[in-house]
Amino acid sequence: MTEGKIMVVALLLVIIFLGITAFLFYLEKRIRVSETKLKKLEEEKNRDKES
Amino acid sequence: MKSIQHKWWKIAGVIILVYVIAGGFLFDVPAFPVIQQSIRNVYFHVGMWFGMIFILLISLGYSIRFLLYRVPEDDMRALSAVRTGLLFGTLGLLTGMIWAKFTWGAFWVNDPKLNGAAVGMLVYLAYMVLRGSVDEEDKRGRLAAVYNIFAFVLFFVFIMIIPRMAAASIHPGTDGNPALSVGDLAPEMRKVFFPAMAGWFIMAWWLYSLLYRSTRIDHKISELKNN
Repeated sequence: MTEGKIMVVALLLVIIFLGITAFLFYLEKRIRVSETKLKKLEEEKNRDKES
Repeated sequence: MKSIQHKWWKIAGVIILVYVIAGGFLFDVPAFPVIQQSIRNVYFHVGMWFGMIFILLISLGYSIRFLLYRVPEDDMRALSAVRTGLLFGTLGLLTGMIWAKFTWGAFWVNDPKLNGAAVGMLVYLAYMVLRGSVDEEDKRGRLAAVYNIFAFVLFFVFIMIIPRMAAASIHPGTDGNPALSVGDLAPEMRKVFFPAMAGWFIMAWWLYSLLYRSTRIDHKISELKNN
């Protein structure tokens, strides 16, 4: 495996994979923000109903 | 609910897959005629397919649960799992087609295993179509859950049973437990193959959980609007 430059291929794929993964973590953070916002909205709505 | 948001298993999955991609391309593999270095695709093509079966099993579980308890969240989970399964299935077909082109000479050959896989995917596409055709939520959930149970059985028949009944298949793994039985996989490839399967399972579960959470947000927004 020393004659070819397969190392370059592997490295590139790892970098692209890590990039996509970082994006997934970011996406998850965004989803969590929406979830907490929604929770607050729901609580406010329930309080409005009770009062 | 908290446990699904923990980060550690996702990071573990990412590390495993980085190892799989690097090791999958760099470690030595045994040389067989025709297949040659393309055997490395086993870490990815089989990974996609196993990941799909894993996530479709999850979907089946939630569909059964939905029929038992009628919690709308279970229906959303089943739907998200099928969507993830379709993604993995499509990637599995594409990686398989490229592999086929360079070993069998064509992107698609008329073979019981290949055609079974294609029909199996259509069965799950029909699940999406069925969902799209019913407007009322609870009714859609029940119909989809019943169909999902039926779909998994049909899928299993198409990819596991019919190929085994057929006289011959060009695709490996038409008997026993493909890639897992002794003698199927060279011992030196196991150190990448088993982590690869674990990594793709984790990736499938992660994508499914993201999909499910966004679906649930969507559902809650429309609920808030209607009340």
